[in-house]
Amino acid sequence: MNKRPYTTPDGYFDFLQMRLSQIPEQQQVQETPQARVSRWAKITPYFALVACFAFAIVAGRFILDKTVAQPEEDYVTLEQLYSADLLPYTSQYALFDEDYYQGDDYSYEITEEDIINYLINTNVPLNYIGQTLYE
Amino acid sequence: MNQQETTDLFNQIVKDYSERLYWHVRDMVGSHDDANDLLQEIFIKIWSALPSFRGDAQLFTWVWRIATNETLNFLRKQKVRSALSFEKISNAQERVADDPYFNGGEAEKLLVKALNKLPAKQRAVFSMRYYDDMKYEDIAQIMNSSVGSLKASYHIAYQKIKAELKNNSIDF
Repeated sequence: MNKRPYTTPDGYFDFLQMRLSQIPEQQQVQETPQARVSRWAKITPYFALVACFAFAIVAGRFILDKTVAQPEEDYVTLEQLYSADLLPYTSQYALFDEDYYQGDDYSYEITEEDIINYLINTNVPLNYIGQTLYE
Repeated sequence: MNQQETTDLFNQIVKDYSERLYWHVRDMVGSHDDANDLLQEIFIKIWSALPSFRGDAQLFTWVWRIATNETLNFLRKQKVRSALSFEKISNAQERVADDPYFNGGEAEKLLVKALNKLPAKQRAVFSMRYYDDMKYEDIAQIMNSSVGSLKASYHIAYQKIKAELKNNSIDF
């Protein structure tokens, strides 16, 4: 083994061993604060994540309902039309089909009163009815 | 290994190897201050890695491998820092002349300067062989290399140093 051409400060290696021996204690002091994290603190981030997803789903559903769904009044209008007894609901154009009303079972003459009742049931304003029929 | 066993093993490593590790690091970095700082980092790394030491490698080669890798990383970062600050790396090599802890003669000064010119890994291999008289098998485990390539590396380093010293009329 060849001798190295340099030295160290006096007592360096004694001080070195003492200094290095303190490393376990120093590292344990640094590590301990992390070990004190409670279980609740560990699972809280996951709860927060679930809450964010739930909020996103609810908010998205709310927005979709407002922008995509039909207005309620449209359903009401359709229901009123279906419940109108003026015409059997087989074809919306049956009113204009002369052949449809041939025969005793289906013969039906529409009166003015029928028309007025129909317009009232479909929420047409009364003044409009008056204007349309009696112009 | 429980906490007490780990601490006992660590203290044994400090007692048995701290001085030898210092010289090994000093051979590679060239400066007492750098070696002193680096040794602290190396032993912190050893402490952190000790729980995962399975005993399948010799403790000596395991410790040396950590020290060598940390020192090579340090030298790599030093090279980058020198390049970014436009400081010539040869300035670090010339520092041996100003080293207050250098107590060798002119020939040894030239040897250390020639050593500092070698690539870091080659310098590590040369130092372990020349100064510590380590077996090639042990160096191969530390450097994660083969005995054949290490012998070649040592031979090349030896030839470079010899040529450098011959230029200054010194026999090596």
